[in-house]
Amino acid sequence: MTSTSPRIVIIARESDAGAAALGALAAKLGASEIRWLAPRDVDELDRVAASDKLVVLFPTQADFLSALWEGRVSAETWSRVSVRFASPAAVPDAELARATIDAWRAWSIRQRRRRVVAGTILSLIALAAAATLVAVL
Amino acid sequence: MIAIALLLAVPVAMWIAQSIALRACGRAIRAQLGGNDLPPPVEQTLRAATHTGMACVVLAYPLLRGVTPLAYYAPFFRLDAAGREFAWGAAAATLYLSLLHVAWAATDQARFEVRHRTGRIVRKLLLAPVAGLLIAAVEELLFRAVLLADLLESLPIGAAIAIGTLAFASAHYVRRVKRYWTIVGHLALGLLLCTAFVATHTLWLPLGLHAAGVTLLSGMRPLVRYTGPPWLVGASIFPYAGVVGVAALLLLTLQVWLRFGGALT
Repeated sequence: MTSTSPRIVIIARESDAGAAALGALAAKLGASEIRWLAPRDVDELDRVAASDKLVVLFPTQADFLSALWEGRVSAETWSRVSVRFASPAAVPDAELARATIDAWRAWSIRQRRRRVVAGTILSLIALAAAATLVAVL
Repeated sequence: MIAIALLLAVPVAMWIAQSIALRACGRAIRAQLGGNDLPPPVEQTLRAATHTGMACVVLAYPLLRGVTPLAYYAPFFRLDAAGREFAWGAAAATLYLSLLHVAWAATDQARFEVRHRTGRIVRKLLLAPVAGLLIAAVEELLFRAVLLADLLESLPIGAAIAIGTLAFASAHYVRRVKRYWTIVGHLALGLLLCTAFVATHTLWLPLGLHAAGVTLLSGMRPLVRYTGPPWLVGASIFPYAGVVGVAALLLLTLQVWLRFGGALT
């Protein structure tokens, strides 16, 4: 390993189906250090990305876009790291917009479902709070 | 049952007025009341006929019973209960609506954003309490002091409340509207207001509940956009038509009944 070998963070679990391909890509890039971060812990990138030799590997472009849109990693961190995908190896320009839109749409649907569940729970809490306050009026 | 007959006469009068106005504009008469494609003069005639019809019922009902309107309506505005019941109703409606909207805003089911010019928003906000009080006053006089009071004289309480609730909700859909599923919310609201009237025998409590609700919703309307699913946040100006809104109205109905004793004499 040379002093310029990158530190690599893989945004996936070692037990995931595509982990082998990600590990192989990391080795191919000559990683000096490999770290696995589960997608739900992606916000730790802010702490881990101390130098600009960090390469972040995502299984797919959609996984990267989800992490980007969730807004849990700072813009400064994104600008410092280098992002790579295990698959597909490259997306032709003509399909890039469609792939991005599809990924955004899927993320939006997941996000909306999460917010509806949260909204329902918080609504019930609000009803209980209102009923309590009205009872003591 | 004089009240029901008078109330049913209002949509008939509205349809006659609409038909005359349509013919005057050279348009064909239609069976349904209202619609987005009505020429402005016909729309204005229909609106005037609606308000006039409601006012006539409010004035005519006591006269048909052989009393002056003042003598008939005065007992529903007993001063000993005025401040307390009106304030309770207004506070309760405000608490429920406010806390629900906080929950919805926190979870992006409703977004508060400035969508009109400042002058227009200020004007709407200043008019909201006036509109709220006026709308509530007219509807409470009509549906509680006239209709429900009349029904209570000849029917058991449950039947009177059921018919009163149905009449109140249906009246909001006499004219063609964008959506009809929101009648669930109006039924729950009608039940609340009828219960409030029966529990207290005055108009102060239903007036407080109704006026505060209309004031808050019409005041928020230029500033809020409901982004959640309709089953959760209702629709447009009817956020109480969703599951949560209906649950809130039913819960408040129970609280009204328990708090004000449900005296039946």
